[in-house]
Amino acid sequence: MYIGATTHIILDDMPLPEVLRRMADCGFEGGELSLIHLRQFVDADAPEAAAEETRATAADLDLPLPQVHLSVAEMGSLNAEKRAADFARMEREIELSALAGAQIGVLHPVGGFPATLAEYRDVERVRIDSFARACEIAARHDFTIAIENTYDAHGDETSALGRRRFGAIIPDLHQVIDAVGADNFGICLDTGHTNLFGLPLGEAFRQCGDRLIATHVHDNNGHDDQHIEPERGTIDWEDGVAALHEIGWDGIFNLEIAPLRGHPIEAQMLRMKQVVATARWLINQ
Amino acid sequence: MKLAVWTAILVELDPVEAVSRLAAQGWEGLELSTEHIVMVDEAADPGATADAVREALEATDCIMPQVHLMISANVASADEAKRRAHIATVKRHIELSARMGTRIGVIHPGGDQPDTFADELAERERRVAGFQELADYAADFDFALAIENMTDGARNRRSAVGQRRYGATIEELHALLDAIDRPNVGICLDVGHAHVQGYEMAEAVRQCGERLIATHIQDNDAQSDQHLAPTRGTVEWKPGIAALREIGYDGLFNLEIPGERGLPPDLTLKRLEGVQEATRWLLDNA
Repeated sequence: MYIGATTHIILDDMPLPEVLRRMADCGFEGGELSLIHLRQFVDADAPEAAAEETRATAADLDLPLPQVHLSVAEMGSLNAEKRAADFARMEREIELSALAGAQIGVLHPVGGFPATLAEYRDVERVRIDSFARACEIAARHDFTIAIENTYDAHGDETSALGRRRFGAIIPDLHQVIDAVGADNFGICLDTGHTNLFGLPLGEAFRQCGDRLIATHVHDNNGHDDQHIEPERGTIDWEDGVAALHEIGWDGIFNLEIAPLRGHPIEAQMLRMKQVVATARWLINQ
Repeated sequence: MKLAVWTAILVELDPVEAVSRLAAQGWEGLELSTEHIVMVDEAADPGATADAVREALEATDCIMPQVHLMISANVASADEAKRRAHIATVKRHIELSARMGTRIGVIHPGGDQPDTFADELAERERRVAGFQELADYAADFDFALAIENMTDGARNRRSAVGQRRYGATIEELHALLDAIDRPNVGICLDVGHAHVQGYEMAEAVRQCGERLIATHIQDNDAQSDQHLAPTRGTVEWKPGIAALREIGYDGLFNLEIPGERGLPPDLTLKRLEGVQEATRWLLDNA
């Protein structure tokens, strides 16, 4: 297991190669290409060159970027036109991510809050078809898709299943993976989402088992998706890390923590070093 | 649909007096509350007490087709001794209820939100087996079980399925009924629970469909299970009642609202008059 972070951990106008250098300086051993940086590739004058520069920089720094957060948009929509546009974007994002050296793209389960059970069933079918298609696109680029766990709504949402949201329980994720039946499909466990949902972290990792292929590591108070550093919220990290060792996880312990908005880069660097030290202490327990 | 109320509203009274007073107030139907079935069960002569309740009702136009069986019954408990004791109690409640002329027993799905998913799956098996045993027993008394929808757990709850509680979605109740596979098991829709859970009442009713055999009618602000009288919370009653008619439900529109704690029964009944009139208006105008 090695310590990484989303490249979004530094919120600045800083170019991505510089972000990577800063991350390496702070002791990170890997990272997840954030959606913000992925979109910068897509929008760049020379997208392929930007992606290749990232790959070269990461290689020089010995800072692998095994995972990327893909766009979260309309692939669960019942509107076929919106879905088609989404897949076109996804193909481009995967192409550029692969060029940048990533091998795993994280996607949310999609689906929203259908008002009737009939719509809910349609969304279920669309979800499976969409993930099957995402896996097909990914396979063309030697790429893998990771479906991320969500959490049930706590607000005023109403739907055919009330406030329950697909993907909050890990068996939902296994169900989609079974239904799609692709080799390049696994789970990204978001530790903060498990805590909001009330799923103990150790049990969550154990339920993922050998289908775990990506991680989003962050903490919260159990009420809000705060994306704060491990040990600052209410997650039982000792049990969670023990479970990671137990299931033989040797991938990235990828911190998806929010950047320090408005702080000078020196303060952000100091905070990142502290985060790395805490994460190292945690995973070595 | 018959306008009804549960007898817990007069929980201070013995079951014979409670049903007599409510029948005299003009309710068309009653649900015998869990407190009152426990009183019958714990009476010196339970059979004679059940007979007395039946006779009290026979003298009126009021019917009492449903009973709330042991409210804490947990037929899915991992504690086998507790589970067997609860099943035994529910069986006694069924027998006594049938003797009173009641034909539907409302019961909760049970379960303890286990720590591991393996335990959750084992719990589901125990739940199915427990309800099958109770359904088979009830069949001998021409009695049906109505499994009630619940709400998910509190925000600080931790389990292998997070804050979820089995039976909080109508879909889970259908899955449970399919697994139980007995003709005398249906659904009791608790409108207040569904509202807290984020269901529109009409959609919840339609999802129950022909399996709906009992109701718990109560309102709330969608945040907590407040058991308010209809129209005092945010439930959309008119489309909900329309959906009840649409699916052909002709059972009790049964108010599960609390009594006025500490007030004498006469005052409770006086305050209940307004609720009765308002709910009748709602039913007539939906």
